Amino acid sequence: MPVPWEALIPFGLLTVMFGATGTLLNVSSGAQNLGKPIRHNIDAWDEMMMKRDEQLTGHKRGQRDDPVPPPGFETGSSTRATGGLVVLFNGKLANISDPLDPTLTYSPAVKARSKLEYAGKLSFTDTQPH
Amino acid sequence: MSSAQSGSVATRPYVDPTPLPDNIPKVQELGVSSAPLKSAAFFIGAYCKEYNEDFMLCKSENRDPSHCLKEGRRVTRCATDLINKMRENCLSQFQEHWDCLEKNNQEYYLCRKPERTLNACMFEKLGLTKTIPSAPAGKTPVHELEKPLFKAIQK
Repeated sequence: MPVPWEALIPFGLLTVMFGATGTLLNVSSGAQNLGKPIRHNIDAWDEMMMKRDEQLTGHKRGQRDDPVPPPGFETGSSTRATGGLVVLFNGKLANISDPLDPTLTYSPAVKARSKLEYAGKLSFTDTQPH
Repeated sequence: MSSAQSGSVATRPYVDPTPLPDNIPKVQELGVSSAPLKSAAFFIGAYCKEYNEDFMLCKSENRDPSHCLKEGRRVTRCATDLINKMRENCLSQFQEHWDCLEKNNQEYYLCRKPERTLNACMFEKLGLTKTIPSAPAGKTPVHELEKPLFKAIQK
């Protein structure tokens, strides 16, 4: 009697499809994490450290144990530079951590953030490594 | 728009437009990333205890960044000093431990074996031990337990 090979096609399909999905997930997560397992249960501290790792090595999961940082680490950073820049109504650029100038007009958002910062509740330098 | 727009990647190195004044001493920041720092954390705590406590107390007085610059410089220098000593004396154990941490979501409890070799080397060469400050007195600290409750699933 001929073997009903057509009945095995669905099994083959399932195996191939599950295998393809799994492989794709594995390869994709490995590529995003430099071959290491995914970081889970990340809290604000870990986010901050990974941001610092990116400044040091260029990738969120990159690590280095050289105590001398790469040039530009101390002063260069998109977070330090742009974290506090705001454009005021009269077109001047100011750093949010400067005290408010009484002669200028500030937007309500700037005033609110400044108030929080000087109340000690919000600091743009708190999450930076000292 | 027909005018040229700058790209999202900086073409020139970033220059700080508001550098610190010259009367503030310059200290090189620590260029170590998160996994080696986590590996060295308890040794930094043991080696730099006074400077760290000084800094924390200073910060508790006033959150203004300019208030604690001196204490902050001391902390940075002490940590850099310890990392240099660790690399001089126990480089391979250090690298093995932080490598293991990086592969295990930076959890200590999954990397006890490399940790034990690192602790032994650090005690032998530099005289530093890992002590967990909030550990209950009288019981074995969790990193010295022979049969821990929380461990890796596979051996």
